[in-house]
Amino acid sequence: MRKFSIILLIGIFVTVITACSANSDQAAENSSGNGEISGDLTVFGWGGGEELQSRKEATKIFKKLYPKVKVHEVWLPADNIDVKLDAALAAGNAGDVIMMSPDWKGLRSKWFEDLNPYIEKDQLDLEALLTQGVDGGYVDADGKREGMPTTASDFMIAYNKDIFDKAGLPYPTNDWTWDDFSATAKQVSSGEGANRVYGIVSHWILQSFAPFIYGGMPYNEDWSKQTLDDPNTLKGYQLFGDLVNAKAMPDDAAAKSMPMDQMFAAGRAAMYPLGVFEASTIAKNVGSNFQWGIVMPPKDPSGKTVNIKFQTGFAMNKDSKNKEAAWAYIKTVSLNKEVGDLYSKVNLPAAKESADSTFANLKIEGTDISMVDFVTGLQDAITFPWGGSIAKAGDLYEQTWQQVTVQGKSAEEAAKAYTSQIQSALDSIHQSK
Amino acid sequence: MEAYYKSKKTSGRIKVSLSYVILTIIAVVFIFPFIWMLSTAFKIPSEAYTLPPKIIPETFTWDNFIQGWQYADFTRYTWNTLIVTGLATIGTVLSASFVAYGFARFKSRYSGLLFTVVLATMMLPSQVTLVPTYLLFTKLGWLDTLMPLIVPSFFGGGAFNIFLLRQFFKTIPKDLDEAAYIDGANAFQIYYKILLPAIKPALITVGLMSITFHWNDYMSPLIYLNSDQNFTLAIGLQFFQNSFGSSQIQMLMAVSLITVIPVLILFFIGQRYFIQGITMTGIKG
Repeated sequence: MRKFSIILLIGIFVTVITACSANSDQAAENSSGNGEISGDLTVFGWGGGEELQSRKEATKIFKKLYPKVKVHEVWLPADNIDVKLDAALAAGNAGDVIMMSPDWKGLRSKWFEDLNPYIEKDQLDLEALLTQGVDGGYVDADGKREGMPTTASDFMIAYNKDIFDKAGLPYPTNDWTWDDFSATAKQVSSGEGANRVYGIVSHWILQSFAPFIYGGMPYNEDWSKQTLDDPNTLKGYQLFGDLVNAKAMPDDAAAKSMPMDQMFAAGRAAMYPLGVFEASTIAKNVGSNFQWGIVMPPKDPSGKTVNIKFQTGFAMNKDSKNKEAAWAYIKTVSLNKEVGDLYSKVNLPAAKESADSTFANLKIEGTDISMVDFVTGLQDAITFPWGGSIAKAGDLYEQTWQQVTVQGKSAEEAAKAYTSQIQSALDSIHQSK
Repeated sequence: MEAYYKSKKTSGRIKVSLSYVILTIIAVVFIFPFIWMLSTAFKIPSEAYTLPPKIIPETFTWDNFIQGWQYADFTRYTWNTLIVTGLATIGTVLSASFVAYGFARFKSRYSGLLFTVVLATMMLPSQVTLVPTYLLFTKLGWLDTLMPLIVPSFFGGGAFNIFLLRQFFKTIPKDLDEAAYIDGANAFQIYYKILLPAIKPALITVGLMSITFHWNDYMSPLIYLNSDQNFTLAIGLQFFQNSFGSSQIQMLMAVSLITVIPVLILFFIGQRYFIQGITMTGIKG
């Protein structure tokens, strides 16, 4: 018995020592894994307000995890950043890690590294790690992954309850259609000249909604054919042209007279499409001036809610001299829980763990509106359709939009002037690939 | 006769009063954005957006100035802006006047062509020259330094300034140059000792325009600077705005108010010369 006890004790001792040694090996591996990555790393990003602050804080977390990596941070304002980045990419000094969106210089550009091999090497199960809906658009049709998501948001329509009450109209509900939207925008508009109260602000996102709201599309799925002249697409553009004509949406001069967020916060517009990224700013600006609520964007004729999603992620510069550190940074800001918790304050974080816990419990500051309400439709939302390689064609779609909403032309007339140019722009994407 | 003079005097008074009323209305229209900035800078967020806008804040706060200034390193941004504006203005005034003197006083077979080429640079969109100049400054190792914002000013000072000063030089009689020449002055002495003092209003005009331009310039610092420690005020102010266009307007207005004051003071000091400089430019072509 004594012998058995001694053997048992020795056995337990050996097991404990082995287990401890295994744990410390694992810890050492992790630690040395992080510690082994060293060298210089330049991170290039942009933004402002709380959003930028969260990006800077996320970099601090990375520095803590990878102390041997010397991080050079380039954080610039968002205004005209594409001009700067174009020059920096052309000169080859844009940094190792570059902030990007799937809609902006994302897909099919020559600048970014394919991240698939890195994901495979680390055996990352992205489906389990990423929040549903945030990852769309980062993978090219040929399978190349050009970025990893960090945050995302889609749009809700904020509405001024006081203006609706004054007009004697019920508040919009999540099952409204674009015809309802148009009728509502016209009915809540009132006043003249400088005192005009508009139905909806002239928001830059409306141009992206336009082709889809009656079930149309701006181009087909593989970007080989423009579908601007599709009757449903045209109907979408025409709706907004009609709103401007009916003075339910500000014309060019009125829109330029006041920033759109001020127009809503000042009670000069009844509705305002906004993402979670600006909801707290709007909440602060509105304060107790009036009561407001949010509703999902209207549905198309098939009953599907039309929404556009905005995603921000990071890509690796193909010319990076320190790809190991660049990948470590991208992985950290995309998947790390602590970083995800930081991002929760401004957007839906890519890290599922944070989205399901921290983000799920947050409310828009000063309101009873839950942050989650803003991203309910994210999974089905359309990725912002004008960026990346589409940008050149996107400029032409923008011009078409302006013909309708600024120049007062019919959607059909505007489309006639632009379809062939847009088709050429789409053709050039495939030729240059 | 007395009645005639009396009625003429009255009609003159009416005209003057009327023009003052019209000018006051125009002045109010133009000054309103500044008043709004001043008023918003002292408001709490929700008050900044009340309709109709209230000029006098109900809740008066200094927090926008304190929080706004602490929001980023605005003290450093101000210092950087002062360096860039000061040196670039010296460069602009010196080099533009030197080039203009050449075009105004020295004739050659190609001076007309050269002057046309200089003026043609005004038509060149900045996008065309952006990448080459960016590459040039990268090769020179000047990226993320204040050099690209200062040094180019010492090489011509801009086509418009050259044009403005050349026109001014042309209003000064050549007899002055000749007299100085007879007295033994060389071409540089004539430029430096005789002509520069004579075109003081134009130089102040160019200087004021250069100060305003460099103080407010956003694009060049955005393109050439990367580090927070090198940023200028124009860059710093943009950080109040997020990537989707919404901004913290009260803080933005508070810091903008602080940053606009030096330019405003300089303009008021130099406005007499500024007006003189502009109005006298076109006298002789």
